[in-house]
Amino acid sequence: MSRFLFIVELCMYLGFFLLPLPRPAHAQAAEQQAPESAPTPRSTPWAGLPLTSLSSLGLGTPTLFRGESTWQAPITGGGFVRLSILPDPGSAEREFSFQADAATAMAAPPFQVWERDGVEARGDGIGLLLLRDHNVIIVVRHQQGGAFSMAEALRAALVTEAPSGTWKTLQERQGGEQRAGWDSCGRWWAVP
Amino acid sequence: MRTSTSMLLVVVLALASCGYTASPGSPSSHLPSSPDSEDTSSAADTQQNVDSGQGQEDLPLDLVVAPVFDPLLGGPLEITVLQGSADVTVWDEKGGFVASVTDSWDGRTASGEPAPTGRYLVRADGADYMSRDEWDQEWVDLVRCGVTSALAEGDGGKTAFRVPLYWYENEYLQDEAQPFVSLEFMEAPDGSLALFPSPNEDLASLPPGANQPLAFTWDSRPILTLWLGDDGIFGSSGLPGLGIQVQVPGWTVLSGGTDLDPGVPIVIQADEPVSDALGVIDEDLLIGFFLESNGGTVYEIGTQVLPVRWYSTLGATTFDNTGDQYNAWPAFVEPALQALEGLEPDTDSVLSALVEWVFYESDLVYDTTYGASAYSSYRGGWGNATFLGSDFVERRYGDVVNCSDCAGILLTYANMLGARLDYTMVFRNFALNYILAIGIEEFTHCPFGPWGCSFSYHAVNTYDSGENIFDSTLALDGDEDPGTEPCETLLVRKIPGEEYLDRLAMNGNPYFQYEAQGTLQ
Repeated sequence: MSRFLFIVELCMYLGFFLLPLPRPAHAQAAEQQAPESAPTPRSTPWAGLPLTSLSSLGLGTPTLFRGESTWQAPITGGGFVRLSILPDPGSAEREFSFQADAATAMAAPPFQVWERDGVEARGDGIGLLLLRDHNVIIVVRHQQGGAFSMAEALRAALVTEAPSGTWKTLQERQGGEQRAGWDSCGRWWAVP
Repeated sequence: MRTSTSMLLVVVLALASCGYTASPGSPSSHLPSSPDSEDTSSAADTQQNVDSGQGQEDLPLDLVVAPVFDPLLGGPLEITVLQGSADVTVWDEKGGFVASVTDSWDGRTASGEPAPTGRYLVRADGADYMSRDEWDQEWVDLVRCGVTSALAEGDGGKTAFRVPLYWYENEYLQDEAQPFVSLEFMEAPDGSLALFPSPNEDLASLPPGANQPLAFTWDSRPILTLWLGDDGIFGSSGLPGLGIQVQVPGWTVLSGGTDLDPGVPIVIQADEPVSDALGVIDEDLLIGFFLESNGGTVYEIGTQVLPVRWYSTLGATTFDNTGDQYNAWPAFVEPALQALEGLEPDTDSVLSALVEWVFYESDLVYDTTYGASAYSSYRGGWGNATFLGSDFVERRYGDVVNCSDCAGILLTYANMLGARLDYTMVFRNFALNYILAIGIEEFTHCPFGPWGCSFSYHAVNTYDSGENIFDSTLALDGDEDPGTEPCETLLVRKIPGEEYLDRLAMNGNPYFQYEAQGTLQ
């Protein structure tokens, strides 16, 4: 496929998904710099996002959730990203529905809703955006209004296979000794 | 003790038979008598030899020294010559010359090296006031006293309940079986007295060798186990068999405190509870070493300072979950106890004080844009909240929070101090009366602006399924009409659940649901 055709196809896909979004100036700028390797819709689960790539995405050291395939990392300049990897798109869809409900204590928040091909999003795209891409849920709180572009960059960095190695190993003592930890994408594992 | 000339001759012969050779320049009359024949407790008694055979009434030369000393802990050995003037020398047990001294001995040889621990003869050769040649000598034990490690114990709450502390950054959980402070060496690299470090100030991590704070419930009388050092530039401690004792003001020695031996730990217990209130208490334990002679004379050898930081908590941690992180973090406990300094140890008092402290002093601000959380999330349902404690204490995601964050914050402080607390949810989509949100200066019933006058949910704290409510996110209008101005600030410190809902919600029939503690990261 030529580079031109690829970009056209990419724009068509991104356009469908993102057109309803409010477009703050920085979001527009980010879209103009959309990565050429943006993911295509998938039916197989994502492995997640390699934690080694966080700094290049403007994120700090992640906090890994014990017992969960979830991590949260600060955004340089303020805010944070929380990313959860669920076993399959179905469970992620249910979890996303709950997460969207819990995302704000405000009754009837003026959030927009997008959905297509296993990808759905809620929020204003400025300071808050929740996004599900198949089995991955991303929550972005951006103090400088770049929630949209950050979510887009994170989606583009998702991988289907985690790089080899572990991110961190623990010696858990809850109810007996066990080894546990997170893989290179922040997925929790435990060996009794 | 008076030593006769004939006895000295016997000693001279005995030593000569053992191959003893006097040090160069040392007169044969200066040979030490056998240390084995000396009684430590009586070594302080003045030994005299009067060559002229005159009686005591002639005030012969008199050498006065303590029978034992620790040159680092207690300073040099003070040497006093009474009734005359003399040259004072120090000899080792084998009769080897060690040093010439004047009015004190710093425990070093003539070449400046530290003399090893052991028994030494201090000898004064001179003349009395009548210009008669005289000499006197005393046996002195050079020792190295000093605790090099200390453990803190509880006894399961009988008299002492220790609360283990957890440093989140290096994921270190205290272990009663491990020292809370220790010295690698008895002496500093420059040969001076090694001092215990001050209590660790880093609330996030515990560096190697740090002096760890100790948390006990407020009514505990802590038990400490002290181990003496037995290795250093002075050699071994030289303590066993000398009858040296230890005392710590305000503490009772339970065992091992008499005839100190590095192989036997000293166990002490505080005479009084840590405190009668909550707080952080810095204390310098003064570990005094002394020798009591048979005659009742007490010789103070020196005092070692052991700095300890006590956290006086309400009780054991009250988390439902288990795991290292569900212990008391200094990062939470220390600032909370400082804020609650002097507070009576009562659950409701502690929870109420925490509400006030978090609401007014935490520099947190309610998220009036979204009402979204920064440090907490729910996974799979409202009863499964996760609070990012380590991120919160570092404020990694800023100061803008929502009710879930505040409920997690209050819950974490409370349960680490021993005041059990859960969170509960107030559901669902209810319009608000006037509230004063955390970090916001004015009451409002529309915290999210003109179109945002309702909560979809609100997280609060309870310990009795909503019978009583604690809330550090917002204060209510406490007057008769909470739906209109003016407003009277009512902090939510154990307000009956029904009254809380009446004052919070203008309409919508709110109700409490779920009661949990969630998980802590």
